[in-house]
Amino acid sequence: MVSGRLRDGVNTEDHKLVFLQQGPLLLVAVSRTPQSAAQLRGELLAVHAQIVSTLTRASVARIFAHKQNYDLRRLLAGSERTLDRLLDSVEQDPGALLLGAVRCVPLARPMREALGALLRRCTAPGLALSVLSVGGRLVTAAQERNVLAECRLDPADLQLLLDWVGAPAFAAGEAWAPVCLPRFNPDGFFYAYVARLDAMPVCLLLLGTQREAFHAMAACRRLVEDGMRALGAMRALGEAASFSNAPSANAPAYSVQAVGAPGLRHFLYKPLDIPDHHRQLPQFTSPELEAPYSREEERQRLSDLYHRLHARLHSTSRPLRLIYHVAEKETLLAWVTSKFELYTCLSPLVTKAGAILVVTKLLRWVRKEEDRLFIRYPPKYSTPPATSTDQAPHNGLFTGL
Amino acid sequence: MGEEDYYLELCERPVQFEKANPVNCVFFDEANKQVFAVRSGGATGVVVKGPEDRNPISFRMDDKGEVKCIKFSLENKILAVQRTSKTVVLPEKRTLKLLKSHNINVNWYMYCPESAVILLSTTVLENVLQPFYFRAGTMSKLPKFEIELPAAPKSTKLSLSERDIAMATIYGQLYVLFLRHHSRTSNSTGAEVVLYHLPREGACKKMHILKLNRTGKFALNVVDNLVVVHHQDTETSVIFDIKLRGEFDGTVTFHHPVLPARSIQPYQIPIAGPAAVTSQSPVPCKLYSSSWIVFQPDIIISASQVLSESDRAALPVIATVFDKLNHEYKKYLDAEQSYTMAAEAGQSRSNPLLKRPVRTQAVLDQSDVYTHVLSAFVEKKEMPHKFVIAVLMEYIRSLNQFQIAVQHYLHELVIKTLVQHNLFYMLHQFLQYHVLSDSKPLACLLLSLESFYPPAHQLSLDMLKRLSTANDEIVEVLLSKHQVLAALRFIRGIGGHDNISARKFLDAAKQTEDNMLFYTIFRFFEQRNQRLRGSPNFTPGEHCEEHVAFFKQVFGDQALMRPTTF
Repeated sequence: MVSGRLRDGVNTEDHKLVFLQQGPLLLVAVSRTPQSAAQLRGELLAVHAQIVSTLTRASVARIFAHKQNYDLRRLLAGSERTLDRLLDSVEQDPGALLLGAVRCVPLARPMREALGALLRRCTAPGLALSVLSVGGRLVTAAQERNVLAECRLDPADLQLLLDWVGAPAFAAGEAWAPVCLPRFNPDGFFYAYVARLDAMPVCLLLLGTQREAFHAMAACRRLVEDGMRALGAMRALGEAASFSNAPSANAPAYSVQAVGAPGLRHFLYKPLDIPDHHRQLPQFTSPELEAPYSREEERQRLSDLYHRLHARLHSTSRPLRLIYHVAEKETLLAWVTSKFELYTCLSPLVTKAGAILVVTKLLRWVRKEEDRLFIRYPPKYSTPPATSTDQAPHNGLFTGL
Repeated sequence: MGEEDYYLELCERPVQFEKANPVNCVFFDEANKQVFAVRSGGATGVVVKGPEDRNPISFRMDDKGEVKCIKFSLENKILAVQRTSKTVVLPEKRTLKLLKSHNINVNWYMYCPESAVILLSTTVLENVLQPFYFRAGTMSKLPKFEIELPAAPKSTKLSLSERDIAMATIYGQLYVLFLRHHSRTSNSTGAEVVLYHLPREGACKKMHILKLNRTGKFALNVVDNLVVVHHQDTETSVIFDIKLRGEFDGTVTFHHPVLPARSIQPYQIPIAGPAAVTSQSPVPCKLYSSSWIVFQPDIIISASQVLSESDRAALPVIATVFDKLNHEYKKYLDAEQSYTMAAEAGQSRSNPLLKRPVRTQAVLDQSDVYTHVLSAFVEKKEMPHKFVIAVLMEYIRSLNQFQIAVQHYLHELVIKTLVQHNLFYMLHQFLQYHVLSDSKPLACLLLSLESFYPPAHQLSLDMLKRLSTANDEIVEVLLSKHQVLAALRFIRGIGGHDNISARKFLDAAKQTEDNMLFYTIFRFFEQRNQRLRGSPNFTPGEHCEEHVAFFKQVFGDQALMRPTTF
């Protein structure tokens, strides 16, 4: 067991060590980056969640109860890449993990609502959650009202799913695999139907409770595809996907120049004034990382800076509301209010007055583009009444393998 | 007494010669200041030494009898030897021509080579002096004058002794100095030196009286326009400056000593002799000895030595001296300034009396003091360096006291001296408390000292900033240190960022090989272009094509700023 004294981690000259005990598993993080112990613990939790999503917590417990020195890697074969990508994203694209939010593809609201409505219409028995994504970013999702009414769909779970479908196994065609949503229910799992649509990076994910529902899911998918074509959604999503010229698959994004605030290089913006019933889906938005952060070292450096800012803002002993930090390579401004949490990266030559102007412009722009950048009203649908008796209890989940 | 208690010092290289004895005769020629040591009438050799000569001149003469007097002409061209009381022998068939003759009964005479004036003592009391002035082959008679002798008791015969008279040029004027042992007025005791001014034309006039306030044996010297009076009994010397104000009673100005009486610094004479004997320790030179013979203006001959004086003073004394110097200097500067202002105002034409102030010998400006006094003084190795600094600072303090602007080379001298002796903390303090005034040359000097004292770089930047005219220099300094952002921020801070050359900054940024920095600077100028011309592109005149290409290569074409439309 990890003793209380080790909860804050161990600092050596160069490294930080953080321990996390989850059931029979002990996770250790060794880091040379400037992340705080809390942030490292958050990453360990994400890793653990990744493991749980593959195995469920109950089975892990059962395995180790049975055999204390079982080598779990045998069961995790195939997930290493996902774990790697998870940890890479900490450095390359830290927003999701850092802010505990999901990033959406910028899409005109009418189109997104139409897609949401489409998902709501295309149901199958036992379907609990439909997710449409492009390049690892959310287009829209629809939740089954009964299944997920009482419980929020945790953004971490959603992010996990988005990352999961980015695995090479799901790169083409369709697939059928079990997945557990750790924060929703770590001991149970869904059956997931994953398909790439129209040979595009658009991905449809249908989570259901029924093991035999593959074909129903496939039929559902065709309905969605037809609907999307009718809406011209493919083109719209294709444009979003090719908006940036970055060669990476994590494409769909906008350029920071769209904001029109000279001196602004990058930002992370998370709205906090989400109406209560929208709390299911905390989101954030950020532009594509462009020059001068084109190289991996610079991205990593920027990510470290964001981590530092975040740690300072949310420090348990001395939290801050605003940080303005002028350094050699950039000027950083981090700001948390009741309405939003914002991290900006500016040119080092920006003056204080200039920085205020930039932030004002940015906030105005985000406000203007709100509908495009965020899913304001996550749609809900209700499944048709259950027909077969092997419907699980009303939360629709099986437990156990 | 420590070494700071003396302000008169004999000069370092005395002229040494063999003591006079039956075989060796010694003669001194005060015109050329040469000592002749004649052995055996010249047969075994004559050695001539002067204070300036590096090597003594040696030669032989035929022994034709006792030598009464021997002198060289100017530049040692002609040697004149007097063997009898009446004949003078010149070698090599040179002839003498009688130019002029006067018939006068002369008691004694005195000749002043510097002014080419001879003074003849006439009358029974020997106190009527007849001067003659030699110039360009002619001899002109000047008006004679009478030296007032002190009132004497009836029993003694009082006459003017040759020993009590001296002639010297002070501040460009010829004076006859009379050492009067008793005052004319009954109520004051003590001897006096009476100065009679002997002009080229016009009568001789009694001008100054230097009060000595003591009696006894005295000797006079004139050094650097200061009258030095040596008192044998107390073995001290006092200094008078007739340019300073004294008490004017209508005809004569009474002067008191400038400084309290002090002795001449004891002097050790190194023994120069055959190698076998060099282990002998130096012999102290007997000062104020009765064997002194004083020659004007600044030579004292002791029985076996010839020495000359020069000045060195202790710090408070030096300070006083500086103050007096700068008082004169300030007067001259003010006069110059009034003259210049008046001349500019056009008054000189209307007022023919307005003359350009004459710079007298008393005016020593900073350049003089720097060149002739301080530079050499600073080089003296045996001087404790804190004393050197103290003297420099005293001079600066004195200039400040008289509100004379200190020239930057004096500050530079201070700094260089401080650095030479590794007194960096002192340097830092002097700059921090603005003891040394800001100037661009000083800032540049500080920059050059960075390798010895790294904080000098920042001190220099601070100084340039205080001099509000040094902005270009500041930018250059920052760029040279690859502090491109700092230079840009600075120039923006003073509102000059629209005028700077994009090329220069981009070059500097490129040199740092820091791509992030290059991006920042490039973007800055793109934004400037947008702001000034509505397009982020550089004009051909800015010669930035190379940098645009480099930017595209590193960051890609799409990273170039797109024109924003409003």
